[in-house]
Amino acid sequence: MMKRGSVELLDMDSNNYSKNIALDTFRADSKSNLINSKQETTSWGKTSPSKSYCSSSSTSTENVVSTLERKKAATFESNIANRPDDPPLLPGEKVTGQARDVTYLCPYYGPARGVLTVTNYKLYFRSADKDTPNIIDVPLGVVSRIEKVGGASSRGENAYGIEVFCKDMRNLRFAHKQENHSRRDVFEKLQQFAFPLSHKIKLFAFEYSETFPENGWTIYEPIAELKRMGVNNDMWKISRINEQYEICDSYPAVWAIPAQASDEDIKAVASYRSRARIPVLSWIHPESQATITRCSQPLVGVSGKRCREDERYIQLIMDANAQSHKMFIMDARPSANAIANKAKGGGYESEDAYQNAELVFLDIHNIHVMRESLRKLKELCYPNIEETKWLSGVESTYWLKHIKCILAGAVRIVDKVENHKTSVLVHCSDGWDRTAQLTALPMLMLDPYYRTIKGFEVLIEKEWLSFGHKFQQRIGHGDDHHSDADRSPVFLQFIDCVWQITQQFPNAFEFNDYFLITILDHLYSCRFGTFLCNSERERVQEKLKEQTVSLWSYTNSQFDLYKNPLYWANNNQQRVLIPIASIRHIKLWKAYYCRWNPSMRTQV
Amino acid sequence: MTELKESRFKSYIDEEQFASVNLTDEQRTKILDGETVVYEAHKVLLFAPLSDRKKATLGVLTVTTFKLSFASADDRDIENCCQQNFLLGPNDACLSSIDTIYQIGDKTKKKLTPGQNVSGKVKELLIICKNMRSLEFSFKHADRDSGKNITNALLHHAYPKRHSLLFAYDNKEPCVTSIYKEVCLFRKREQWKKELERTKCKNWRASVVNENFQTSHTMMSTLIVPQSVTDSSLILAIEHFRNRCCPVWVWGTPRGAALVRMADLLPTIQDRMQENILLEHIRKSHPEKKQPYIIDLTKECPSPKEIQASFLKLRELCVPENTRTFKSQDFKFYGLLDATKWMTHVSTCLTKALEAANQIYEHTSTVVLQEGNGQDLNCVVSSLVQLMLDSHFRTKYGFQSLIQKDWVAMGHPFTNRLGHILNKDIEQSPVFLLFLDCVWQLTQQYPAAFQFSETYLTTVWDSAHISIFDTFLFNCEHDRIIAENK
Repeated sequence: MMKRGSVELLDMDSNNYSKNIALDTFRADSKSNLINSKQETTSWGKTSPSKSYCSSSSTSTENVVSTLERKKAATFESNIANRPDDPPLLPGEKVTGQARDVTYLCPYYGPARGVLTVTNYKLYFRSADKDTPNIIDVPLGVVSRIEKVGGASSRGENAYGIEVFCKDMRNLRFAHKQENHSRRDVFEKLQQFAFPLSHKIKLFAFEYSETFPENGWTIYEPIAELKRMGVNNDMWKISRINEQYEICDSYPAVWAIPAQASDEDIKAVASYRSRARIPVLSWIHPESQATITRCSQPLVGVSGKRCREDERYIQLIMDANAQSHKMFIMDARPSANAIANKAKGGGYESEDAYQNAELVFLDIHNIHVMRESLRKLKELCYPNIEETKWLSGVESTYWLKHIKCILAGAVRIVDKVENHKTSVLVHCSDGWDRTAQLTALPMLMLDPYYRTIKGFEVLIEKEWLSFGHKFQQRIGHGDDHHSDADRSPVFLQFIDCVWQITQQFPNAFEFNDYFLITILDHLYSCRFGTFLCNSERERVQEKLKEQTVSLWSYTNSQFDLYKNPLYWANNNQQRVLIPIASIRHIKLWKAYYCRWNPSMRTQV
Repeated sequence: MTELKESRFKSYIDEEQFASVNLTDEQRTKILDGETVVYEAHKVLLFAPLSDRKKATLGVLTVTTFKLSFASADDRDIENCCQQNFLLGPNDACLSSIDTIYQIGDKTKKKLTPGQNVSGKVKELLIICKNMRSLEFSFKHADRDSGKNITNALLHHAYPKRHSLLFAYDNKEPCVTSIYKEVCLFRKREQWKKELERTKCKNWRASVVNENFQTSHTMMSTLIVPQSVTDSSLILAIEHFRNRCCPVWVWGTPRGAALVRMADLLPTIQDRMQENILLEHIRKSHPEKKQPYIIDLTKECPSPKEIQASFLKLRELCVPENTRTFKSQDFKFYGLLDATKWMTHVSTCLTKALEAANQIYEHTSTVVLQEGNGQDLNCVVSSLVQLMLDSHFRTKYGFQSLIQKDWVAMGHPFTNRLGHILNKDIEQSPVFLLFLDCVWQLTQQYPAAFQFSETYLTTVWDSAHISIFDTFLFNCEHDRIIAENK
C-alpha cells in the first residue's frame, strides 16, 4: 500500500495545507491522539526514516517506489563518494550526461532550478534547494517520447527546453538556459538511453548487476506448476512437442494437452489455428476437472473452412471433463470483429462444426481502442484534475467500462467452470492479449494459490510471459517509435482488474497494491529482464535468465513491503472469488493513475 | 410496462406448499413491550431485490405500531444478512423509515397518499425506505383482503400526524443508559463548561439567559458567549437573528481561535448593528483581538432543499427497480452520479470545512459560520471542522459527543428533516446523511485516523429512522424537554 512510503512524503509537505491541517493537528494532539497510536501499530513495514531521507522525499513527483529505492540506493551513495548533485547509482549504472542550471517546471509546486543528470538507466533531477530538494527520478524505460520545446528565437522565461512524455501517466518539462548550450547534450543522451534499441545500445537490464538472495528466474517451473494441478492424469498429459518451438514459436516449450491427442493431431490443429496457437491447458479444477484452455482463432476464412482434427481435439477437451456434456468457447471479441476477421482468414467456431460447444462473444475491444482510452484518461488525470464533472470525465474515457467488460467476461468464465462444472476454451484473434486477461483473471478468482505473492508471480510468468504476450511490442522497450500501433496497455488493464478484485475482497490477497504498482513500474523500467522480449523462445535466445536479473529476485528479497496486513491466510478462506462486475463497483485506481498529483494521494 | 407483465413471478414451488407458513418461535416476528400488532397477513411473498420477481420467499407480513415485519421459514435470509439487531429482523423496517408506498398492478405503479384508504384489491406493494432500502411484496397467495388491509394499516401508521403518535412514546422496553458516562450529551451547563476546559479556549463564558428557553426556543439552555458580552445586550441582539439563533461558541483552540456559529439576521432587519456588536465581542475574545473570519454558508453551500432534490436523484440511482433499470443506469453510472450533484455537495461541504479549519489552525483566527436558520449547514460544516482539528472527535464516544453537541443540542430540526411526522409545511432533507457521507470521505482519506468504521456510520443513519431512540427524534432541546415531561 502506498501508505508506508507516503508517511514521510506528507510529513514535510508544507505546500499542501489540506493535508497538513489534518496531519499536524493529529500530531499536535495529546496522548489520546488516535492517529499517532495507530501509526505505531501499523507502521510494521516502515523502515525508520532518517532525517535526510525524510527531507529528500518531499517532492511533488516523488512516488513511493523511487522513495524506497532511493533509500536503498542511499546506502550505495555513502559507499561511492559522490558529489552532492550526483544521483545514487545502481550497480551497473553510469552517469552519461549532466546539465546544471536546469529548471524543472513542476505543475504542482512551480519551477525549481537544479542539476539534471542522465545515466544509462534514469533521468535524475535535483533542485538546488538544500533543505527540501525537489527530486525527479525516472527510469528511462518509462519514457515514450522526448521533444525539444522552443528554438533559438524563443523568448520568455522557461520557454526553451525539453519535454519528456512518459508511459506511466506523466510528462516532465525542463527549461534550459540558451546561453548555457546544455540542452543539446542532454537531449542526445536522453534519446540514446531512453531508446537504446533504436541506437544499437543494449537495454539497461543487461548492464544491471545487482545480486539478490533469491533467484526469481526459478519461481516458475512449468512442470512443477502442472503437477500442482495434478497433470499428468488420465485425461491430460504434459507434451514436449514444442521443445524447439517448432510447432508454435510464440508458445512455451512445455504445455499440457488432452491425453488422447497424438502428435499428428497437434500438427493438424496447429495448421488450423492462427499462428499455430493450439488449445492448451491453463487451469484445471481440482474437484470437477473442468478446465480453462486457451488458443487463437480458427482459420475459418470467408469460405467457412473446417478441420476435422480441430473438431475432434475440442471434443477431447470436452470429454476430459466427465461432469459436463457441453463446453463453452468464449471469444473475447465483439461479434462484429470476429465476423470481420473472416475476411482476413480468421473467424470463429461455427456451432454446426462444434456440436456440443456453445460460442459466446465477450465484447472486449481490441488493443487500439484500449490505447486510445488510456490516452484520454491520461489527459484527464495529468497534470491537473478538473474538479467539476470529474466523474463524467472519467466515464467519457471508457476506461472503467473496458475494465468492467474484462472483469465481466472473467466472471462469466468462472461461473461456467465453478458453478456449471463446464470446461471453457478462451480465445480472441491471436490469443495473446485479451485471451491472457481472460485466462489469468479467472484463474486468480478460482485458485487461492495465485492470490499469494509467489503464486501471482507464477501466474504472470505462466499466462502472460510463457504463452507469449508480446511485452516488447506492447510496451515498446527501448524503442523510439512512440506512435507504434502495436503498443497497448493490455497488461496494465489486467493489473487494474486485479486491483479491482482486491478492492472487493480485501482479505483474499497476500499482496498489497504497492506490489501491483511495483510490477507496473518495472514493466517499463527495463531494469529487470522479466518483461523483456515477446516470447519464451526469444527470451531463451537472448539468454535473459543468465544475463539479466528477474523482477521476482528483487520483490522476493523484500517480501514484507508487499504484504497485505488484512490477508486471511488459512484453509477456510474463500476458495472462489466472484467479484461484482458492475460499473458501480469499478473504481478509478487513483493511487496509480493520479499518483503524481500530490492532492490525489492517499493520506496517512 | 408490457415487459413487466412477461417477467411476472412464475410459481417455482408447488401450490400445495402455499397452504400455510409454519414458523418456529425463533422465526416469528418479535413484539416489543408496548408494541401492538395492527394487521397480520399470511402467505405473503417477498421478492428478492433485483430478481425481476423471479425469486421470492413466502412468509408472514405484519404491520405493528412500530414496524413492518416479514417473517419467513427461510433461514438463508438470516445467514446472508450482514446486519441484524434486537429490534428489527433481517426483513423488518421501522415504520419511521418508510418513505413511499407504491401499489403495483399488472401494468401500473401508483404512489399512495399517506392517510388515504385503499378500497380495491392490492396485489403487490413496493415500499421505498428512507435508508434506500426497497421491499416488494406480493399478496397473490394471501387471503382475499390481506393486501388491502396491510396497505391501509401502513398508510395510517407509518405517517403519524402528531409527534406524540411516534412509537417512542409507547415503547416500554428498558433503555440502555450505560454509554452516557462516556458520551457527553451537552444538555447541562457543566458539560459545556467542561468542553470549554477541555479545549482550553479562554475568554468565553456560559450564559444562563436561555435557561428556561425564555429567549430562544430553538437554542439550548446554555449559551457559550464572549466573556465581554452582557446578558442584557445578548437578549437585545437575539431578537434580530432568524430562528433567534445568535452567535454561540461550539469549539476552540488553546491559542484562542474559536469556532462560532450563528443564523442570518432576520430579512426584515436592515441595520446590522446588533450583529456587529456581537462580532465585536467575539473579536475581543480572541487573545490577539483578531478580526473573526466569517463564512457565509447560505451563499456557498447547498440549501436543505437542494440537498433533498439531490438525494432523491441519488436514491433513484441506488434503488433500481429491476435489472433493466440497473443495467441502463450502469451504462452511464458515473455521469448519472455526477448529475445527482450529491458528490458536488459533499465536496463543497468538505471544502468549506477545510477553509474554516485552515483559518483556525494556520491563521489562529476565530471562524464564524453563518447560515439561514443556523441549524442545517452550520451543523455539517461545524462538526466537520472539529473532526479535522480535534482527534477526540474521531473516537467512537467523541464522535457521539460531537453529534450530541453540534446536531442534537444545537437544534438541528431532526423531526422535520427526517420527516418523522406528516406535515406539508415542513421541509424534509437528509442534511445529516450529507454530513455522514462527508465523514465517510474523511475515513477513506485517513483510514487509520478514525476509531469507527463504515458500518458504524451506516448504522447511525439507519437508527436515525428507528423511532425507539430519542436522539434524532426532536427538532430542538426544548421539544425534547416538553416530551420528557409528558
